[in-house]
Amino acid sequence: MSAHPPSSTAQENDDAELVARTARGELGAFEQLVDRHRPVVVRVAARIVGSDEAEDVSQDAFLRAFHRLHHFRGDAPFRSWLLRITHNAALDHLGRRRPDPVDPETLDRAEQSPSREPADRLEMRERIERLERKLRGLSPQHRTVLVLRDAEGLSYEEIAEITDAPIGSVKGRLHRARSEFIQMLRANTYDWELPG
Amino acid sequence: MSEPSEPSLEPAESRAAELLRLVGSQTPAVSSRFTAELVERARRQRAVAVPMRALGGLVAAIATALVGAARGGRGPGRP
Repeated sequence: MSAHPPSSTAQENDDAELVARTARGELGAFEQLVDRHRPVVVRVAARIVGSDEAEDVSQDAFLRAFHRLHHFRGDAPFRSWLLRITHNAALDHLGRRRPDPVDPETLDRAEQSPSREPADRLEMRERIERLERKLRGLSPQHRTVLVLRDAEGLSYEEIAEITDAPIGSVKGRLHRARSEFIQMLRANTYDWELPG
Repeated sequence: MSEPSEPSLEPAESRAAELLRLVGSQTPAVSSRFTAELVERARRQRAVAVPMRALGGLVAAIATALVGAARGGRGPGRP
């Protein structure tokens, strides 16, 4: 399992101070909060709604957080609270748009990029794009727990906080999501080097 | 934050988790104006939200006062 990003107490204290300053009206403090948490918010949004719409969903999530800062009680890390808002914003976004037509037969047909990137970088990018297409074949709930746990390395507790689900449900959902993901990886000809 | 113990993963699950870490290592690019635009939107929205919130509070206070006055005007109700 990956090394989990530390829930650094120092960072949480800094966040708490920035939140307090933002609540007092300092937009500069909000700007610092955005810069600090933007990468993880964009990654999580991208893995739920797709890279093309991640920026809009991330902006929506940060604005929701900005207007609800007075609800942040500080009993959980700010990152968890913000990712919970991001998760909800992403699900709302999915609910508003027509579902992607996900055909398992076509999941593996990568668009051929005319890019002239170096071969190894191009291959890596194509691998990641294939994996992202696979992820989009999962339900949003399964996608979310897989992304938060395996891609982002968050703790079960933090995932439970973000998805508003008991830890036992998170573990069960994660187990089913992994099984489903593995089946999807096995259901095509690309060699993902999965042990039998 | 204490971490509940991770049940040992099957080899295929470990490989899947490894592939997902690869996905997690990539952050999609966003506009270079992402933060600046966001802060500007927050500033504009706050300029509207603060007076609206104050107005909402005023309306609620007036409504409460009117309800109180109406009840008081009716005098003591029947037991």
